[in-house]
Amino acid sequence: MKTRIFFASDVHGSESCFRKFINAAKFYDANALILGGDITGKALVPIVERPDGRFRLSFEGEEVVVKKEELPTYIKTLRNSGRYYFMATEAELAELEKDKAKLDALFLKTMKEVLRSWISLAQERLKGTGVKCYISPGNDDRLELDELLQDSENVFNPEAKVVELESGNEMITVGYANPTPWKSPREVPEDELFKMIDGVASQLKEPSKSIFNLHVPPHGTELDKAPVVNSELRYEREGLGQLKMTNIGSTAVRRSIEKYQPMLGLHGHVHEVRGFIRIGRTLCVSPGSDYVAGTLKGAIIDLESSAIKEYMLTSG
Amino acid sequence: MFDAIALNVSNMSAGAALATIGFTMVALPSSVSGVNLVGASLIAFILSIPEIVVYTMMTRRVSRTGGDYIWVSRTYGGLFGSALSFMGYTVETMAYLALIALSAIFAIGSVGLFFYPSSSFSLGLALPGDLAGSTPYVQLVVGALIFAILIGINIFKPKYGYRLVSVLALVGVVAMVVGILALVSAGQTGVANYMNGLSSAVNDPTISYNAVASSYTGSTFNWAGSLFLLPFFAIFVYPWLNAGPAVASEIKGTRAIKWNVPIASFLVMILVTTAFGAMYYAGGFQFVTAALSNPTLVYTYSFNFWTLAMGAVNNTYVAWFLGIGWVLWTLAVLAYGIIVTSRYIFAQAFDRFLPERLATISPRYGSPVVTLLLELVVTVGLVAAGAVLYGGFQSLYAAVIASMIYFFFVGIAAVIHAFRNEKGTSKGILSLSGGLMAIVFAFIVYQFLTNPTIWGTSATALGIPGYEFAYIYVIASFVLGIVIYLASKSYHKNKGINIDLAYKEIPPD
Repeated sequence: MKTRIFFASDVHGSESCFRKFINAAKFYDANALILGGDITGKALVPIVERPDGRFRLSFEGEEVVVKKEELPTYIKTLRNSGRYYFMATEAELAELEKDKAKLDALFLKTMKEVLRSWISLAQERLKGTGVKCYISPGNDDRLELDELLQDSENVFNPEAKVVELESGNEMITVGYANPTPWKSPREVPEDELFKMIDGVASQLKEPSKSIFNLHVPPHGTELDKAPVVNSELRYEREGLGQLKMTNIGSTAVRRSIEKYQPMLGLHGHVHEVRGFIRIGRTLCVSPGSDYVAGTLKGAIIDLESSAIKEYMLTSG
Repeated sequence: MFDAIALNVSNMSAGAALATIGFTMVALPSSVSGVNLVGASLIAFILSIPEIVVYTMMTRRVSRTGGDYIWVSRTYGGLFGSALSFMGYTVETMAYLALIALSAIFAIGSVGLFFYPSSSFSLGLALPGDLAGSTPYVQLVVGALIFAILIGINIFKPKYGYRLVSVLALVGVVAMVVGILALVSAGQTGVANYMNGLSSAVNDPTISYNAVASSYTGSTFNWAGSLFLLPFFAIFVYPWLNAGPAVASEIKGTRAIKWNVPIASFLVMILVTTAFGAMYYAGGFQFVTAALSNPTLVYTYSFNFWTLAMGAVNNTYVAWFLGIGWVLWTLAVLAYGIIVTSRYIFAQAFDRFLPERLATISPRYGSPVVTLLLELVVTVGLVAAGAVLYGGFQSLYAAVIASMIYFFFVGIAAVIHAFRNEKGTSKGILSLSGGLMAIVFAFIVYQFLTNPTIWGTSATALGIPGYEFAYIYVIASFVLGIVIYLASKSYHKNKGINIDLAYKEIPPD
């Protein structure tokens, strides 16, 4: 049976990217939607109401003061670029800035609210369509979110499982990453990551026809080239100021692909990279991410008779 | 930010413009006088401001690999957008790179001739291919060799690609600044000594300083005359703001995305205008205008900013540095062009317009080997056409009309984007800038078409004048773009994929 997969990754809280992801089923005539991790955003923006009735917020690196009627446009832009927001008075903000735990709790609460609304949206839009939507966490997604990612009629969390697509292909999913400078919530050493992948992959009936939905790309390829980040989380430069690039992918992911030689590898994690490579017979695809611009980068992959018939990168 | 600016500075081929202006001045009809290069440069820069605004605003809004290709193809749809970009950028850039490769050969020959006046090898490289004493086949071999080496670096050591552009552009900029300072410090005495020395050495009194200076009797500024040179600045300098935006998704930091286009543009305007100003300051307007319009000086002695600075400075080491800086600047343009063209080809291959093979990175070398080899073959073919068939880089000017048409449509695309996506002030600024940009480029296209033998060549090969050959190349590339798109669409349709979807935005609501 023919199955069209639409794969995207690293939407990082972008409202427009997620909405486009759900709408991609109809737009691209896909019957399986796969979101490969890093669902949640990285920033929480306070919007402070001033005594004069206007609002102060940080917007695109600048402090701006806007009128009440302009605020919805700013909020929409913030949300489309993956930033969460909350409303506060000056006093409330000052208190939050002093109490980091309280601020963190607010961040998590906001993340959960958005994710909950997204899952509801996916269930509502995909109901009765026959489209299956797979949403799994990535290394940047906090563990507390797992409770929300429960299977429903058409939205599934495939993490650490073998799931069978309509085409008959099995898919395994691992959203954990090898260590990063950001010390994100789901990171493990390479050996442990290999064991995690191997533990699921060993359950496959036909590895050669399977799909490895592994958030991190394989190490030492064109899919894992990213700027070097130092201990202060700043980009390192070399020569006359050029960004220093390195391979940040996972050796465990590469080893597992080389060991099982699945039909398809789906990856994200490195936003700058966009492309497809082959490791042996495995086609590895990474659509990249441009969530800050609200642009959904994705990949369409057509499977037929347990083989890849065609594939195309998308950007829209 | 440095890389993005360096890419754009290289894209705006200031070093080549200062070297080649004489070939255009020589070709101007006698009715065109009062051409003031400082004024012309400023006019051209002012007319490029709408484009600077468009590229700055659009890069912030749609910062994706491929830059203006993405804006154009998403605005006009796959068929027209892809064919337009294919004609106006992908294929045209290869013609432009051939033009710059020939200008690099001219630079090498001219520098050689400056230090070794009796070298027939240098003369053969410096002279346009259709003049006696030139060696067009040697020019072809040297041009192919230079381009092949740069392609080789990008294939085997791809990580050095950007660095090479930055280093070459930096040396080029420093050399240009040194050249400006050399001319200012040498003053009229230095220029006169150099010209009189040259006149005595070759026993030609008509090229002495006073003889040349007194041969010009026109005005120091004429609006129409200066405006006439707009296509020259369009060919080499001001419109070429798209290198940074083409790699926008690889630029880190909002400051770099926001400022790389205006900073690069302003920097180049200062350099080019000051360099022409330094020539006028040192040599006087009459002398410089007459010398740049003197075929003997331009063709036989490669008279231009660089050689004048090299001669006037009266210091062998500085002269060598200037000569090397001139050559390296042209190589910077080639090095940049190779990178940026591959980005456009990548974006087009990702969209399934061009074959997937062209977006494939070799696992062995980590570079797009097939794409780079394609660039090599096409560009060397065009170097051959320019050098052997039509007598030099000027013959390739006419192919640049493709980009002027392309920029016209980029302006219109900005207007459409503004009306579809912007509100308030942004809508007003972007739509106005896009409209003005389109008007400017429509005028430049008009200038190209009304003076085809100045912005092209009348030299004939295979029964076809050079400018007609260039126009055929442009039209053929557009038609080829249409054919490729339709073929790709049909091919992928049979496999179940509609490539039109790659050019459409998914509705979020």
